[in-house]
Amino acid sequence: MNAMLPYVVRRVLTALPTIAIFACFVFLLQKLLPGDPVLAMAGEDRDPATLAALRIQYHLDDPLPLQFMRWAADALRGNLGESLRNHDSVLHLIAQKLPVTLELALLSTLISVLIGVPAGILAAAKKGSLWDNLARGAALWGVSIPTFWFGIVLIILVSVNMHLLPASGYAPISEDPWQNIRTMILPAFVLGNAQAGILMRHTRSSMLEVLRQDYVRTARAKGLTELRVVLGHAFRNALAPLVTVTAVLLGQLLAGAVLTEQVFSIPGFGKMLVDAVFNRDYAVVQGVALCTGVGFILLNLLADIAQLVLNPRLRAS
Amino acid sequence: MTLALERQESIEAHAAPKRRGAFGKLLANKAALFGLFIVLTCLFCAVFASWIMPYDPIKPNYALIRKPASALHWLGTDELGRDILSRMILGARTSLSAGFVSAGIAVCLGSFFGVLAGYMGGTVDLIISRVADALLATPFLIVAIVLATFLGPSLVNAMIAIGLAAAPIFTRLARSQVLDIKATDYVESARALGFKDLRIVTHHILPNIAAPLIVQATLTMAQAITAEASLSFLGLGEQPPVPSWGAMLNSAKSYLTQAPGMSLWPGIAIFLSVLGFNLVGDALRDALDPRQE
Amino acid sequence: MKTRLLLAGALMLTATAATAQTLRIGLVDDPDLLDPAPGKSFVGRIVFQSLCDKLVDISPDLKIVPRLAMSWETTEDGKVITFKLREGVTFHDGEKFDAAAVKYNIERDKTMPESIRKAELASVDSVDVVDPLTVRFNLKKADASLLATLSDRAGMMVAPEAAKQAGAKFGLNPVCSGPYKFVDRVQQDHITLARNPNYWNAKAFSFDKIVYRTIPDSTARLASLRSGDLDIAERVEPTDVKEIEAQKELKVVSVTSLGYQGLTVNVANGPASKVPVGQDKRVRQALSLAIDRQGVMDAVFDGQFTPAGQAVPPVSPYYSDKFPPSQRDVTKAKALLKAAGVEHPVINVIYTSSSRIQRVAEVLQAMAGEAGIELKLISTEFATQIQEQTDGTFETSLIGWSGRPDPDGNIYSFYICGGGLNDGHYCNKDVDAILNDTRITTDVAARRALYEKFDAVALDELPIIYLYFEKYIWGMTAKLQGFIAVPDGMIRLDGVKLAQ
Repeated sequence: MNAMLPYVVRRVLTALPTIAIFACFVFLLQKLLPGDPVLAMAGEDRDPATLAALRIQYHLDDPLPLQFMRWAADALRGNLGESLRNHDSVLHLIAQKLPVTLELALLSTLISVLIGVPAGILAAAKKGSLWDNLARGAALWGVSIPTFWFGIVLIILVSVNMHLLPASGYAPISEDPWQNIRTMILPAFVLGNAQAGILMRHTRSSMLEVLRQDYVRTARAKGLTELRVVLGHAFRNALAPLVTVTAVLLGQLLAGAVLTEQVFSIPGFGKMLVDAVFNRDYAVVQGVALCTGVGFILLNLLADIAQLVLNPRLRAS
Repeated sequence: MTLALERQESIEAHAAPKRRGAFGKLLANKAALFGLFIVLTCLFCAVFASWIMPYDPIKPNYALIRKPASALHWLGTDELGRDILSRMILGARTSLSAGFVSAGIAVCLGSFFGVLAGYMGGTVDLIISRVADALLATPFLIVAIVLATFLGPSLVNAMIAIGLAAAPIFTRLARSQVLDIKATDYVESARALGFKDLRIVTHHILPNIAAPLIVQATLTMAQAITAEASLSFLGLGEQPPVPSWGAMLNSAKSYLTQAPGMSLWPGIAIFLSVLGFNLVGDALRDALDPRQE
Repeated sequence: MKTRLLLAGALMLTATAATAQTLRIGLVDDPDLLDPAPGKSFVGRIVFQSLCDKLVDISPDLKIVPRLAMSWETTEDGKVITFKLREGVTFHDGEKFDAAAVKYNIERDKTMPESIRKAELASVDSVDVVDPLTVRFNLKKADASLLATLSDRAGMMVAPEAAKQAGAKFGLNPVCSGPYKFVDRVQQDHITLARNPNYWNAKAFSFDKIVYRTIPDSTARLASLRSGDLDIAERVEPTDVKEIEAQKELKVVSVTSLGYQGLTVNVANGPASKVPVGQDKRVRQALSLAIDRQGVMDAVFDGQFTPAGQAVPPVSPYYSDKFPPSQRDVTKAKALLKAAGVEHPVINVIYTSSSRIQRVAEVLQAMAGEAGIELKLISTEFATQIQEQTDGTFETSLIGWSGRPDPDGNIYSFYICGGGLNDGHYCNKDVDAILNDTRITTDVAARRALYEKFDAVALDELPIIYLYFEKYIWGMTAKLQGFIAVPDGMIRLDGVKLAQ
């Protein structure tokens, strides 16, 4: 464990500049956008004099570096600013949506692990068989179906025709756990389905790699049953890279579930982020992107550390 | 949105010197042949679209709005009375370009910086790696939306966005490959012989890291096709009246219960083309992997 | 049965009364700040309708009807309006509504930095409290559209004490005097309102709770209605009407809107206007003649919407039969183009990328093509579109206007020289004179005549080519009774109830 500490410290230190670059990057990116926030928000009710006054009030005419410095200084003090569109504090908005996004991400990842990992193990153990081909075909089906379309199909089948689950009406888990889980199943399944394919492919290739190793042959030679060889010996060793993949999948879900959220009316980060970009609500874009970006980087960090724990050979190098 | 996800898989497929039997192995693989067949069919449609389309895919025909399949229109007509088969054929051009160009951008940009980082090392490596990590953490849709709104929504800009989002994976991949190869005697001796850096890179390093990059590229292509579909849901993909499979699926979504055929065909096309690219990619990896007997 | 059960489950946790009834409404967008002064969104107005009572309201035939103001009198010269206010009204927090509150609200609208009501209330010079129930508006000049303006956000009354304390953040926790009061909100998700038992007309409102849910995707919104997760779906797609009508448990209510959809042409705003379509009215006339408006309606909207030839919809008393939508005439269009010396003009059209507008654009492109006009479609998102319009970097823009009850709201700022919404910089002194006259003329027949004079010029020069009037189409459960469609597209809940 002690041997790992310097590595972990170094890894954390390298994550810091990444976060800083990322924050600059997102800031510049959105400042590239044409259209100014005040005009975008006014829409039909645009009155030049009022808009000009608002622009000054919100410092939108200041030079870019100054705007960024102001934002960064506030952010370091834990203040992510205020939404231009609704004057709510960005921290409050994030706090409102973070649990939703996390729940959806975790549920989807759980579903993708439950589908993808066993399918990958099966495919690897029976490489070249009908099972292998079926699993690979099914994996591609998940990857190739756009989530917005699959979501609508599921809503029409399950909610409209069969009346099994609600089509919308998300409720926070603290208020109504039953309704919460009922509204979450379909979107989590849609996302999980899309990711299960990726996970299945990784599991398969990782398992194939391990199954070729000498110690697996030894285990077989010792007369262990195939099931024990595959699950007991091989899978344990194939696990390490899967942790990284799962972390990346989870990390991307933090910001990437926009379309699914939109179709199922789930109030998560994705929808807030896209709305904020379209409304030029800079503070919200910046705050949410920062939050998801940092989450992503942290998850990667955790995954790297988990790799070390799972794979002693890496520690040596 | 899942563009970054294949990096692990490719990193696992270690660089391997090209082997003579690779192409032969590819041809012996039935799944690969099937994949190749699909890819070639799509390519054929894309290239010769103007000759094989039975009807004008652009011009609305108000008398034929949302008609089911018939002898004249094999796959039916869409919400503006246009022949779905013709639009599918032209859509192949859009969707395949999305695949090829995005992957091309990602490969070129990503591996350029990856090789640079790996070969130069030091501060250059540090900066490039940090930037690549930061890019990887930026939500893909944000990049796409910002680019689309900044440059105007179009297929080209969607492709740039998809390419940019996928580039960091290639940077990481190329960098790690270069680091491996740089350590070999091979490059050392080239250096000792006094070859210029550029020559070493183009003659000794690039050929040796090409295989895993190509494999990753076929996977990126498949994902770019679905990514274009997702972008067209937000109105940021190919612009009307030119069809893409994703855009067709998006407009068909509104008529799912009234005209299910409208979603069925573009859906199948996306699935098959993704399947095709992935099968070819899988087979390429197997064929290029020396450890498989 | 399922719905009931679900409903009951949801209510057990929150409601106290066993008979509590919730109405669930699906909105197209997420409302912005819930404060009438800086409020900008259309869906926000829908929420305000139940949350914030206003001085006056409009009826389905666009008559002004009393709400917080019981009656009003205008002086001969139209420069002073005196309102008699309703007695015994309190805000949700118990503060009394009186003339001082009205004065505070109008001044807040006129001075709050974030307020975008300033232009609407520009004609109001000052507000005097005559007695607690009488308030006098002193105008700079007569303003025939002021009452209609007060039927919208400018006439909505917020609680002065609460507003003073909350400042710009008032919209996070709005306190008004409407039939429902604010409970909670999650951005991009829902807004919950609960019955205000002290409302002066509380008996007319049968629901204990209103939940507004934001569901932007039309297919998803309709699916939620069909699965019983919504009671009302706002702005259903016209192509879905037949499907809803075929369902026994659903019904459709619709009304032609106050707004219009059209092509705004850049006639004088920067270098982008220096193209044939901007400089020569014959090219614009040709474009208008090339379009088969009914054909567009049939192709894109299943014939649900109405072709438009002027700025005000048929429901308005100021609609003129003398200016029907022009019929398609390709021969005449080609002749006009020939006369203008450009037989094959290429015209850029910017539009907001949404499937509905996109289809309209594609059909327009095909129709214009038959007259030799090539439309180049450029899709943008809304923020960029308005930016290009104000910057003058567009040739034509496919855009709509949600409409106001008084024709002034649909016309004045779009045509007057230097008008806030006049993005094409159209400027014609004669038109200015007519439009300024319409503002000080209160007699309906005389005003109507003025608008016809305006139409004769505007519809010849065509800085805006009117295309169609949309309909507000609500899909709702068949059990819902008493819903009255008003052309402003708001959801008014007095007298609406769910049959058992």
